[in-house]
Amino acid sequence: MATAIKYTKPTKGLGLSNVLFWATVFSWPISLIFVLMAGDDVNLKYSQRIFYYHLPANIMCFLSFMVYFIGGIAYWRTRNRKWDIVMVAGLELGIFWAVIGIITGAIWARYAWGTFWTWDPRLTTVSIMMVVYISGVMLRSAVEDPTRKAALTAAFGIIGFVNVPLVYFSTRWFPKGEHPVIFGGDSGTPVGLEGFMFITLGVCFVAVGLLFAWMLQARIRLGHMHEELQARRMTLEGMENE
Amino acid sequence: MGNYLRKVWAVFSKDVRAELRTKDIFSAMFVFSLLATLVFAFALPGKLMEPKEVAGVAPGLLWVAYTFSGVLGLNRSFIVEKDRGSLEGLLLAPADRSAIYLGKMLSNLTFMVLVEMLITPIFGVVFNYSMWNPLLIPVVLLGTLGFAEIGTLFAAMAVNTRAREVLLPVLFFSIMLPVIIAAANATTALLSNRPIEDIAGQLQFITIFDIIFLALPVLLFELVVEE
Repeated sequence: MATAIKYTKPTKGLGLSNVLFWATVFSWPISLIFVLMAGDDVNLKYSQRIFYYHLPANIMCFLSFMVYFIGGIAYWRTRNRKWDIVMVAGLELGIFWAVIGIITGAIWARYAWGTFWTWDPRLTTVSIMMVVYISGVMLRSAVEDPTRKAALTAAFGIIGFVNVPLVYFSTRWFPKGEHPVIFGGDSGTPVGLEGFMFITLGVCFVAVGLLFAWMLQARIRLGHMHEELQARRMTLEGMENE
Repeated sequence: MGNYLRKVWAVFSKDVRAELRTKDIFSAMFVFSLLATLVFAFALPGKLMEPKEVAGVAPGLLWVAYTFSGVLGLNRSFIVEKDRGSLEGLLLAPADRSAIYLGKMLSNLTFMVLVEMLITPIFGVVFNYSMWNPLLIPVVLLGTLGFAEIGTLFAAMAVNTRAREVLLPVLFFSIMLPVIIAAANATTALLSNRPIEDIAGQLQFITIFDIIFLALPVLLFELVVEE
């Protein structure tokens, strides 16, 4: 007997997916214009501009792992497999944005500090965080049963996220870093952002945030489609066996 | 509460008794850490003459030996149960699942601490470096407690996956890095006779880590072992 399967419709017109997609497409050139118009930094001249994408990318990385963590907590409390799709989306996007953050940061560091990489507390934290979440992907790939996969992913996501601040604290025993601090904070090199630079940073936040939102919902939709495909395959196999 | 502790004790004593009869886990861990120590000694020729150079590398290598031999024991603790089919029996026992976790965690902790007690003096002899400092005991105990807590949960997770022996170290080392950083730092400070204030922060940090990662696995163990 064929069971009713929820069918993911392709979005047309003013669907969330399309709105986010076109908003992203329009906001990126605008953000680029703002970045080019912003004034040069006194010391870093042109290279400073990559920072306008570097900071938002890192925030999105953090948000993605937060999505994974929240999905993990929700799965733990409800045992509902739809949270597994949210968890994977957070996990994969987090690694993507971490890579973007590391690459843009390394390019910036090459000009600011004369080296691509140093063992500064923040860089160490990010690199350890990457290793943790990559091992999360390995964990997923080693499990076949979907329910067990979701359960192990959830447990690992909760532990991994709680671990991040601990990693940061443990790196306090590293030599004092020179990573600039933009908002709050009283350590590191302060960076003065003024007037137009703030507006530019805001525009870039919107552009990167829109891309993040679009990718997140696309990944979740893809996850649902994948589930649906599995379900259809199962019903078809069942019908053949009859 | 007394009832709960009795169940924890039952799991713990079962593991210890099984280990006393076979000596599988303990001997493998000890021989492995011994070999690791020798490999370090051979891989760093000439580094072992100058006490100053030894002081720079020995604490880190000591913790590498601890973690590597520890992960070996953690792996066995659940794989043996799984392969003999006794894991199902254990999970069917009329006890809270977290009691099973705590019992397993304590037995793993015991095996690791025993191996560390044996290997540390040998390490000192091979590296010709005094490993004796009474304050090293709390550092090693707290660090190993963190290993056992996270390691037991991850071993339970890894045992039900395809690449179980390979997966545990991958998961375990990445999460354990903060403890390894803090413990290796504290050990370096202690063995080069720096004042105790220098390690207070690290000790505090490892204690906080131990508390958080005792509470989380107790809550999550049910989730990772359910069928």
